[in-house]
Amino acid sequence: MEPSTQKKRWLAGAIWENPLLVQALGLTAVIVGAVNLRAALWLSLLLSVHLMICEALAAAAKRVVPEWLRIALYFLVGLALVCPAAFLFERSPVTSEAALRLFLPLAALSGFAPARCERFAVRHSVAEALQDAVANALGFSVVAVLTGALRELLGSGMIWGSAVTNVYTRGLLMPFGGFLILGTLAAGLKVLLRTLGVRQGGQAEEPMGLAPEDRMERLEKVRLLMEAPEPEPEPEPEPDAEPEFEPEPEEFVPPKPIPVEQILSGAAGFDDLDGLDDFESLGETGQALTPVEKARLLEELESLLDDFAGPLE
Amino acid sequence: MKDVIMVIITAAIYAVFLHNLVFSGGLGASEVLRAAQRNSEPLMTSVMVSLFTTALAVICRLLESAWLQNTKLAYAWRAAVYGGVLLALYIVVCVVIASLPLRIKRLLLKRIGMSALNSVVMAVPLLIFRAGENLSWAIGMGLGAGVAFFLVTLLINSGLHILQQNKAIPPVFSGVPAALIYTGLLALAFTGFTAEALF
Repeated sequence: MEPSTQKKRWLAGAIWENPLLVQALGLTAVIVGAVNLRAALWLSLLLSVHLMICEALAAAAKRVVPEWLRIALYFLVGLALVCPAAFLFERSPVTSEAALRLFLPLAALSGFAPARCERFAVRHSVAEALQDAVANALGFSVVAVLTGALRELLGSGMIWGSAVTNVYTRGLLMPFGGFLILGTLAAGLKVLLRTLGVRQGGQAEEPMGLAPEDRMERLEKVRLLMEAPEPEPEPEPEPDAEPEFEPEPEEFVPPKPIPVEQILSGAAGFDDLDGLDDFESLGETGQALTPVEKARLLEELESLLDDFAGPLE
Repeated sequence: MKDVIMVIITAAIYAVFLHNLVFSGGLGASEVLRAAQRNSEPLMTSVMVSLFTTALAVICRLLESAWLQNTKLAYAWRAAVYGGVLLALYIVVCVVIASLPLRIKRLLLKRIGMSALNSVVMAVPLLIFRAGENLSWAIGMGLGAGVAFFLVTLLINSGLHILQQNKAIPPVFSGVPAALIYTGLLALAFTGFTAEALF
């Protein structure tokens, strides 16, 4: 993998496509659990480990295991991680950790790890999946810790259990406070990205792939063309009519065949896709797509379009 | 029989309004936002949430009566048992759906993960255990959880449409920030039902 692609993947996971503020994943854990700094740190640690294990498993199992069974495995890993932690917190003398143990078993059902695994890990190698997991875990942890700190300060006037101020609003410790703080942080992230001149979700011309909204548009065009009906045959000319002037035909240059995987991964750029209106040379062998390839392509497209319903733009 | 029905209705109203699991509890937030984005599926997702929640609440309540209440199992391990029951229930339902000749089999299998394995479903039996409630309350809470999920999804879905059409919203607040703040304000309104002090 090129160093520039690796760097962009780090930035995408941690900032451009931040799991909390852009993809809206793992909201429950932060809204319910991250009510103070200490709890936010513990939650971030547990969910980060959960994500890394699940993405590694998903990348290793890939499409061998059916999707519904993969989701059950993610949940099983989550239970195996958080229930022992909740048991340890139950005996902890620290009040904030004791309060966390009530919510922790529910953190096993966080949609954070399953969503990242199904959107990314199952289509990439184990190394790339682990890199994505670390980047997303970092992005999640920064936001969760910041939210926990803000809620503890504004909701109880304390930081790390030590009183800082007498002015606070208890309501911010409730779920609506979590929603409001996360919404404000999401707006703040947009301001930061606009100031840096970065389009949220990545830049289209970069080798990592198309921006999500551009990819949606291209995938829709592919799907419509795949499902287009056969063109009607041209009518035969009348036998007594004078022959029409026919210019010399231009030399036909077939478009360069592009592997299906390259299009699905978004690595094919605009220039590569623009000329392929008939897709006759789309197959890996340069021949027209077989019915099996078409069915597989349609299935992949449906799955990708479904996955790209994530960001609320 | 009349008392049982009244308990079920009361528990359902409690789960929908007095302690809405999404707005007042903050549970299932990501799943609700994703379901709200899909215009055509809030009802299907909510029905599946309701079915799984009710089934899990009933099974766990029966398990408590028959076995767990006689053990001194810690809360964390009890939650692990409930999670195991949910996992088994989910796998059985998926296997049954996969074996049936249904046209919407693929769609059901794609959506069932989000509906079954989310925090709203598992929260109900844990809440019932902590409150020491009976089987009728478990059924009512399970049904109410599905209604609550549907109500919240509809509210957020209609709100997202209005937010997308409103050009007066500053660009930095459009999309996810507006959706989260809008959901937070709805949650604030429902928090009023709980009579908890905000200050």
